[in-house]
Order: sequence, then structure tokens, then C-alpha cells
Amino acid sequence: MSSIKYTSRLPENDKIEGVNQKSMLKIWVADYADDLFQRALYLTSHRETAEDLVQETFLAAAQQVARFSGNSSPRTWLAAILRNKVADYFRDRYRKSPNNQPEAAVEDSFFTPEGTWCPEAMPAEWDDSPVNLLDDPNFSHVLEDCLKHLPPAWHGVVVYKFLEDRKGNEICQKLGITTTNYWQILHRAKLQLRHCLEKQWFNQ
Amino acid sequence: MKYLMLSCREATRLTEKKLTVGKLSFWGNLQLAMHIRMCDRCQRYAGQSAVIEKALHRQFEAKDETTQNLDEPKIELSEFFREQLLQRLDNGEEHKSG
Repeated sequence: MSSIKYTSRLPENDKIEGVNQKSMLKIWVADYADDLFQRALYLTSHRETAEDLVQETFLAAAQQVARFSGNSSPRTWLAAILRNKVADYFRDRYRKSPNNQPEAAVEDSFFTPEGTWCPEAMPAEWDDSPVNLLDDPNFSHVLEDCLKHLPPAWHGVVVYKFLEDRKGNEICQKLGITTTNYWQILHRAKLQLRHCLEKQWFNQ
Repeated sequence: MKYLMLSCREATRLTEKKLTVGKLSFWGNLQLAMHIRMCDRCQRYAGQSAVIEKALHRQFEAKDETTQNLDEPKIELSEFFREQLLQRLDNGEEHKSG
């Protein structure tokens, strides 16, 4: 292994290392705190929450800094810690929501009692090609906006799902949710998201 | 034949289940395929749902670097916050886990 390790600048001596790690963390605060904050703010849309998450990220980093191998950049390493913190935040948001069960009533607004589409909820043709949509930053803003219109508990589940790149059953375990409830929430959230996108993006 | 026919409501449910769980039972697959073949709306739904799925992936996975919402003025971290954080790090404050 000839890769240059970030920590290799640090002396082996434990006492000195402690001091150096502290000053290294301070440099990281100066260099990366603002970027991490922007990211947290973007994901949570809430200033205090974002600040808390950045703080937790650095306190966790301070504890784990000995494990920072230097194989990745400090920015990437800190971003990964933040990502976990944000995921935990959304997981708790789901867990602590009073109404976190998938309500069938949402589906009822899309379908008739016989199970066919209600006229106003029928999926219309989307003009743009998927490739164009995915590359359009405005589309991603509308999507973001639509996400925020979901009930908080569902928003939590959706964001958690995409932040945590895990298998469905692992996510269910972490959320404390049955698989059936999990995909029902995703189904209802998707119905709402699709409808919101169609209204906001395609029928402007 | 009747048992093979899904309603649109059930078809969209299976569409999402397939996306989330990755696969359906043999019957589930068959039922969904038959419904979608005959129902333009659910066919559209399935396509759009897959697009939304991809868009959400991009939103949360690839965007670790990009952060700013272009329409909104940038909110900066306050100096107060920075100082507090540095102080807490200096005190070697333990991170509360969980």
C-alpha cells in the first residue's frame, strides 16, 4: 500500500495525537461546516434541525476520528456521518409521528369504490421524456416541494428509504414497521407525489 | 378469469410492491402484466412511478455534493454556532448516541 494517508501526518504518540486531532477537527469545522450545514438544510428544510445535525456530526467525528483512515477525503467522511445523522432524524420522525400508519383514506381519494381511477386522479400523459426530466433541476425542485407536502411520517419513510441504501426488510426493522405497512406507505406516498408532480409540473 | 382481473387500485399497489420488494409472486406478476396490458392509465402510472423512483434516487443519492436550492437565498451558519461547536469540541464533549 503506497497510498498517502491523511492521518499519516499525525505523530504516533497518543498524547500528542489527542491535541492534533482536536486541531484537525477545528480545521474541518472551518473548512466543511458550512457545506455540511447547506446539505443538512437542503434535506431537512429546517434551520435548527440542520444546525443540530451538523453539531452531532462533528461531535461524532471527534469520537471516531481515530478510525478515520484517510482513504477518503475528510469532506466525504464527514458527509457520510452527516448522512447517517439525517437518516436517523427521518427515522425518528417516522417513529415519533402520532399518525404513522398508512391510512386507506388517501387511496380512496384516487380510486372509486370499485377500484377504478377517479376522473380527476387519472394519470395523464407526461410530455417530457424521462431523460429530460431527470436532468432538469427545476423538476427536482418541484419534486422536493411535493415531498414536503406529504404527511410528515410518510415523508420520513420516503427520505429514509432513499438515504439508507439498504434492503427493504432492514429498513423495516430500523423503522419498526411491518413490510406490508412499509410498502403501503410507499404506495400512498407515490400516488400523492405523482399527482402533485402532474399538477405542478405538467399542468402549469 | 375473474380471479385474474385486478382493479386499478390493486394494480397500482402491485406496481409499487414490485418496485419496493423487487419481485412479486408468480400470480401477482401475471395479474399485473395482464392488467397493465389492458389498462392505459395503469400502464402510464407504472412508467411514471418508475421515473419518480429514479428521480428520488438522484435527489438523495447523487447529491451529497450539491446543496443549494437555487431559488432561495443562502442561509449561512452563524458565528455563534461555530464558536459553540468549537468550544464543545475543545471540551471533548461526548456525542450522545442514539
